[in-house]
Amino acid sequence: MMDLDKIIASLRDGKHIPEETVFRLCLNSQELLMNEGNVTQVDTPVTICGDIHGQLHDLLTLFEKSGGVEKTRYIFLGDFVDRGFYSLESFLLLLCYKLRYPDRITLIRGNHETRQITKVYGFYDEVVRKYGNSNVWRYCCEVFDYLSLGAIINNSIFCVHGGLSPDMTTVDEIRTIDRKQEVPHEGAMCDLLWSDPEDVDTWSLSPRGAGFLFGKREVDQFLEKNNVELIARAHQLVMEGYKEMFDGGLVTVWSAPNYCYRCGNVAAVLKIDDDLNREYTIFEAVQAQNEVGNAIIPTKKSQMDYFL
Amino acid sequence: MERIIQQTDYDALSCKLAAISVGYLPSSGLQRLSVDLSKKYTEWHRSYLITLKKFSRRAFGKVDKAMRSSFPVMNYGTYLRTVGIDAAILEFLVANEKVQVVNLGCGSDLRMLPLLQMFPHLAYVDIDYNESVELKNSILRESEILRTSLGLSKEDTAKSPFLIDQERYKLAACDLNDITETTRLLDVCTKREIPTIVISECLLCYMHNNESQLLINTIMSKFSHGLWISYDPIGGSQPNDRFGAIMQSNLKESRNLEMPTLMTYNSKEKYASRWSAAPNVIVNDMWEIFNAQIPESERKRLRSLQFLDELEELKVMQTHYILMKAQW
Ligand SMILES: C[S@@+](CC[C@H](N)C(=O)[O-])C[C@H]1O[C@@H](n2cnc3c(N)ncnc32)[C@H](O)[C@@H]1O
Repeated sequence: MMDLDKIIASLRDGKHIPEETVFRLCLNSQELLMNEGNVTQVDTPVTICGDIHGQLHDLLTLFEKSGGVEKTRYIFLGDFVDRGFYSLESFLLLLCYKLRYPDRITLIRGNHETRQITKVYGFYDEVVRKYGNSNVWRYCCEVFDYLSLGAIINNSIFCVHGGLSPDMTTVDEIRTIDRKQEVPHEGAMCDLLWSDPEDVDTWSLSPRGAGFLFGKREVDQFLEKNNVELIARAHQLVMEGYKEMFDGGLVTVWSAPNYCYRCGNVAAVLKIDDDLNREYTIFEAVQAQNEVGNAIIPTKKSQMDYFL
Repeated sequence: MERIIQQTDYDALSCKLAAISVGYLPSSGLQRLSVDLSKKYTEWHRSYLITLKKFSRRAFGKVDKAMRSSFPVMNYGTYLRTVGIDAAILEFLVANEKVQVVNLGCGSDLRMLPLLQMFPHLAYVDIDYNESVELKNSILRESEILRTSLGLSKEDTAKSPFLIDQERYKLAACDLNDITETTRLLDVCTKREIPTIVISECLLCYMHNNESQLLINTIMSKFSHGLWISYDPIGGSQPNDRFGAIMQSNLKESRNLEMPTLMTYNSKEKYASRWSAAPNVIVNDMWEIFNAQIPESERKRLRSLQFLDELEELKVMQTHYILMKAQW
């Protein structure tokens, strides 16, 4: 048996986790996730969280501001990895919590939880930098394939990373997807992870190159057909942390403050109580340095984040 | 400080090489390149990088590494910056028979190569700090395809301040903070009556207010007709816009780099106010340019290259970079 509490403590400190430990964590997580459906049932009260993107210290703030996993139930809407400096630690921390408190945390797959995207957006490089090889990245990608595609809270709130798909308009259809694979470039599974709400009259092509844009009409139809009152999703940076659209029928929740250490946005989580009331908590990014001036976030990164 | 500023050229170069290696650039349509020139565009840049290795392994290592880890959001921005400036240049070149271009703070920019081939009446002057143009000169003369494209000899015979002194292409060393030196240089290598394009692509942001304003005023009064094309970041002017402040502190902390006027000229309008002597000034942020000037066929091409993971981030970044065109 693994000492999860000890691993959790190491992860919170940003310490190196041996490859063998990661391997076992990933294997155990797969076994656990395998038995979950594509759309997990979750009870209130629950806190919905958006994109994390490897911003470990901000993830710690998130837990601190929202009660912590010991006391609160959470749904994470995906995009745990890529872009930030601590993708691995952030993802593993969430996996450890999942193993330690299985029914207090639900993890949904985001469009970044794929082999192809993580090779472009930083997670792969981070692992190679930290381990000298890509094994740990491969173990994590195996877990990605088992993450569920959505969640449903009290049969009333549908949670997904990106949005809707023209190919599948009911939750029951989504339950039939064979999800245990790399995210395809098109089709319902791809759309759920990539699509965005927009002021459009009908399904339109997405400027991201994958998924669709959908409007109020598509959302209203989905809500009615599935007898739910809200679609909660993440996937898009919102400078104010969250944004409700379509008369409150859809909300975007974004949980990575000062995204990529330069966007200047605040972050939010959304708590749903037993009466399905919505309560947003806003939080800011951690300081780049601690009280004694030591860097918490490595700023000496040679990445060309600005156009110079 | 000068060294730190000079090194920003490696960033600009890495970004451009990354955009080329993934296929964002060249844009044969917007850069009006023939099939042959499109091919050469890629080869010239590749050769520049490979030759850089001979002169500075450190710089090469830095550029090569940065080039390989460039995110799509950066590639989009580099694409917009490059085609935005090129489109403005081309418009003026097509409308005027004989033109001279003065590229201030040219760094490793190679846009003179296709332009000189496309426009036989064009004369082109590249200006940067001595250290920067020395490196550029060495590379241009060492690489065979760069050398032949310009018709250069391997040996260096030009006299200071010129490192290359051809009829149509000149590469000159000058500190643009020194207005006397700058004026003297322009006196010998440009003509007042010829319609002139002045380019400042990420140059003014590193200068102090007085120096940059003096440079603008002096150059504008020097040429009877001209088009000034300037690309720079702006800090942002909305009450809760923190982009500029975060940018200043990130650059300061990570590399001790300063952008003295980022918050002074924090909006498009304020930025453009420095050219108020010109009768015709147009300024757009790069997000506007993306939405209004990039045709759907191009956007489709870009979408096919890489998945863009975050459109809002692109918007946040691109609304903080502007392209200003002042015609007089
Ligand atoms: C970010 S680079 C841009 C290079 C090129 N314009 C481009 O966009 O690819 C800035 C360049 O401006 C040059 N520069 C900055 N201040 C200068 C000055 N006072 N005199 C001459 N060159 C200067 C630097 O040496 C550097 O090559």
